[in-house]
Amino acid sequence: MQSEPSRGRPDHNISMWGAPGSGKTTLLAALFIALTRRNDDWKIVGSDPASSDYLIERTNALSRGKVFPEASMALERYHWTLIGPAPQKTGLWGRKAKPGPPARIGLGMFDAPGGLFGTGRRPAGGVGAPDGAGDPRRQELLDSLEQSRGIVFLFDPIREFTFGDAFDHMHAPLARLAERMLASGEFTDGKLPHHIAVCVTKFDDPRVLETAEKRRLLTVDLDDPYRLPRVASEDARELFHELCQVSASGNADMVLNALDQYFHPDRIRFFATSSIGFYVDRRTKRFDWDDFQNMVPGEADEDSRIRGQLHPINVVEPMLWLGQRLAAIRPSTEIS
Amino acid sequence: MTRREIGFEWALEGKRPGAHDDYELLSWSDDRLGPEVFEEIRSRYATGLSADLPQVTIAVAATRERERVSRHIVLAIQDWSGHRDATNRKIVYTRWFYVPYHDLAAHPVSYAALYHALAGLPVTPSPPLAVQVPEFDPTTGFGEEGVPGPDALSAAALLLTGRPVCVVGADSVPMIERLRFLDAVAALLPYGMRARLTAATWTSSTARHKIRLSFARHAPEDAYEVRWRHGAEITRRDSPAHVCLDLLTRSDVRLADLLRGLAGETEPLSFGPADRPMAVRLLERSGYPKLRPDSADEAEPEPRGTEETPDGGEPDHPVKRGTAAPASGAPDPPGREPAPERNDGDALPAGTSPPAGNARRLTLPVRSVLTWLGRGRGRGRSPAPGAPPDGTAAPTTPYRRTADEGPAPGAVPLSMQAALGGLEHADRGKQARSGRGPQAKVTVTVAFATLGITLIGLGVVALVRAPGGDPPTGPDVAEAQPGTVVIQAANRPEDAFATNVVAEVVRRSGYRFEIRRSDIPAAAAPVEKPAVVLIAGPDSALTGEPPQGFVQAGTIPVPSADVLVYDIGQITPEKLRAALKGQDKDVRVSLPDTDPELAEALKRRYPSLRLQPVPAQDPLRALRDKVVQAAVVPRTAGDGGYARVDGPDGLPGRTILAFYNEAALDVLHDALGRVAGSIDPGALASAEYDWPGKAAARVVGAVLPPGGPSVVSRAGERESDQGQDSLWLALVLIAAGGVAGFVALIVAIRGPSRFEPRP
Repeated sequence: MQSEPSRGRPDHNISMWGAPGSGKTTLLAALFIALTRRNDDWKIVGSDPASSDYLIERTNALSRGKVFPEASMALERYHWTLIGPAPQKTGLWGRKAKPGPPARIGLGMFDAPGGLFGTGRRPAGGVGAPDGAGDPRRQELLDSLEQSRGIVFLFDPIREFTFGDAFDHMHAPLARLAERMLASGEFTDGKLPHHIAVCVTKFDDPRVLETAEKRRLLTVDLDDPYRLPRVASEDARELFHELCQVSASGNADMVLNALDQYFHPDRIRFFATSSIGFYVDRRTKRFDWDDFQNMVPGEADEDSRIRGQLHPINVVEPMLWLGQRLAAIRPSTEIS
Repeated sequence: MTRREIGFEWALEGKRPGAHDDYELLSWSDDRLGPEVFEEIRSRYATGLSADLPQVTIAVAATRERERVSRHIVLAIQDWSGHRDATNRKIVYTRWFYVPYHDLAAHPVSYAALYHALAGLPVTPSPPLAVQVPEFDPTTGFGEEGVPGPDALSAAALLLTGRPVCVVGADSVPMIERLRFLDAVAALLPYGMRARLTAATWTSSTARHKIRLSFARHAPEDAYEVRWRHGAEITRRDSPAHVCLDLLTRSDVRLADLLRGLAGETEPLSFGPADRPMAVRLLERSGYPKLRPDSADEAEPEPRGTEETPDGGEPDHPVKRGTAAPASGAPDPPGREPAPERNDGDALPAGTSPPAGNARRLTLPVRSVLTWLGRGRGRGRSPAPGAPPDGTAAPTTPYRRTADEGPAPGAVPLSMQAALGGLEHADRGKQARSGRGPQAKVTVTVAFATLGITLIGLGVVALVRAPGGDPPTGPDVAEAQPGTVVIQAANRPEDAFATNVVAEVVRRSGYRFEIRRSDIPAAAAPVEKPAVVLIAGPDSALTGEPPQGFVQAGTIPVPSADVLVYDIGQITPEKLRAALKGQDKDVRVSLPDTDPELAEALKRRYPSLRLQPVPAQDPLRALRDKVVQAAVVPRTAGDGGYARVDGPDGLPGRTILAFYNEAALDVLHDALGRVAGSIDPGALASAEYDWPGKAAARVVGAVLPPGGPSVVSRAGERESDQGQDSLWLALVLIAAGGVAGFVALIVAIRGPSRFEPRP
């Protein structure tokens, strides 16, 4: 007998938002590896077979195949559960503490082709909305943004330096989203109800790393055995601002202004992110300023490849931040 | 093999080499269809990107140009382009080929043949835009076995439910074999359904898509799952699919006839609720070709143009050139209510009529079944717009075979007719509503209202008759049935425990009992029947003499109707017992002010207690207010969680004397005496005796072995704890009556829209 649809819904929906090639799919693909690299007990588990398949296949492709995922051609949806460490409860009278149930955050992730965020290129003689809002896939994208309360916004500084179209891929969906939220009465205080994790991607690119280094924004986690450079979340906004200065179009600063205008200040957090991280020599096991590039650009008909092991930087952190903030606002049955 | 020339239009989706943008339309044929159509369709039928290319997607498109609707079957071939974008990612080309359906209706071809013809074309084909395609042979394409496998049969049958179907377990199967499978499934449906069938040899399991028949690793949650080479389990719950599968697999149906017949049914048909029954009838007609009526006057008019909606429920609206019909091939979401059937000419060009060769006629038996059901398609409907006014497609008198004619030779089996009738019933809900709605509304409203009134009435009767703890009783004058022991008791609720004890003893002795009540039991007791008479003990003013011929069977201690409770924070049980014995004169006890007899009795028995009357509505109030240390409360009011005084020091107990006649002695022997002697008077104050029925069963059960099957009284009511069960029964009946009344109200207000056909 055929079963009726009955799969459960995730607790919180999170949408990926970024221009084509900004690294949305790669960031998701690196999530499992990033969690496995951490020393805490957070892990990610697929909530349905298809979502588990994605985690397994993408992890294999990155870690073994050393290849990046192809560009998305449809709006993909993954259902995952972040399972955290079990909190230790204080024991009475010196008795051994009994661990509580682990924290669980159910996530529904939307990954859309980056082109859908753009204003679209209308075919000659075409009629309709200037941003292609009549496009069924764009409607689906806006539906996903409306359903979500968490957004991972990817800002690709290399693309911005080359094409300067980050704002082009932001303002149209943002305006449509605000319109929908206003209609549904969730824009009453003039801000969107979403939390937004702004990820400055491709931190492993020498140009981005050098910008951070010149602004003295780099730190090293003393607990990190590889001594990988990082930018603390508090300084990531400054890095973002600094990278906006080299925008090809000069419009990048409007991205920052739009974020401030549409989102609550305490619901914005910046991250300097690299899905593949820096190259680390397996013998020295130390970051080397003279040899840190982990991506090898492909030749004429070759894929770009990942040179060494993946050491994702700030891939998990945006997800955990969003998951925990959303769980705190709307605890679900899965949150313990 | 005959080859046919098929025209097409095309569009190319991809990226330019080195591009930093997303996928877009790169080029297209500049013919009838505009780029908006190509944009719309490529966006609507995106299936994701497979790592294993090429893959093929079958989509559909409908456009309107000068009031003329054009339907296209769209074949999209996705393959690597050999180029890379700005981030060095491989670029995929998706080549969209638009083939007019009317060409395919005139010269049917298979998907696989079309793919082979189009895949070899350049990426940007140049005019003339036409390819040679081998003509369609519906009887081939079923692999080595030559017959459709269980997967294809299941998929075809399930498609006729309106929900999407996803084939899983075919990850390693080559694309071309999957495409042939799509052909095999389509061949099991009327060819006209290809005008609305969307299919794909691969879809992403994590992408939402609008493909009706797809391959994927995991089926979407709203789709039926069919396992490659195995099929699907289809039960009667999947009613339309079950019927169709039965049609497709009947041993008396010749496959070749079926397939050829279906291939000839080229009139466009949707998968919506309006057209699915017709599809099933075409299936049936193709399976039994001998039943095709040749006479024109037996033809029934075929309504056409019923369209499917984006969601399968409403008609689509092909619009002017440049805009595609919205999701014309999208499957129904589960649970979607069927839309009203349309017979307008929206989907077909006005002023045209269906091809004469495609006129659909019902086979006689099926039609008579449908006529009998009053749900025949086209019944009572106006001719389709554009139908010739001379009535060539006008309704005819439904054929009815008379009894003298006997069954038609080669008729469809009755079981099949019933199945088809059931399917019609499922899919013709709207017609049924429009035809019989108001009548059904009144009938259903009255039925529910009657049911509600009846249930409430029964509930009230049960509530009134609830005796507060007595077993069911019969009328005093009734004659006891043979093997029945009459229990003659006083008409007092406080005697319920003793009555239940006797009844339970009788039951465990293997006899029926009948309880009769009267003010003076001794006077009404039958002598000639086995009978037990219960008379108040000597401690009661109501005591009396036993009737003539009765001897005492035992003395049954019975719990008092009241209990004495105390606040252990104010008084210890020892001090309270001392007070009851007259050793402490400072203890205050409250009692309900409605029972002066009880007050007098307590004064006599416990003269040292300081009694304080309190309102009977809240007999524990003084105890809660700590005005008194103890309180006498009715057992039915509950003890409020306070401790009870039990044992011989508590409130004075009562006894009931049980007498039986010789006939009863013969059946009960000394059982009643043994049970009565086992009752501990000291425990009667406990909460265990608050429910007389249960307490009696427990007491008797401790002495006598379990009896036979449940023994009932004359009225057929099972002995039970009436004090509890009757109340619940009454409440349940009243509640059910209320619900039925509410439903009647809703039906009366909402009317026919609330009636749903039974699937």
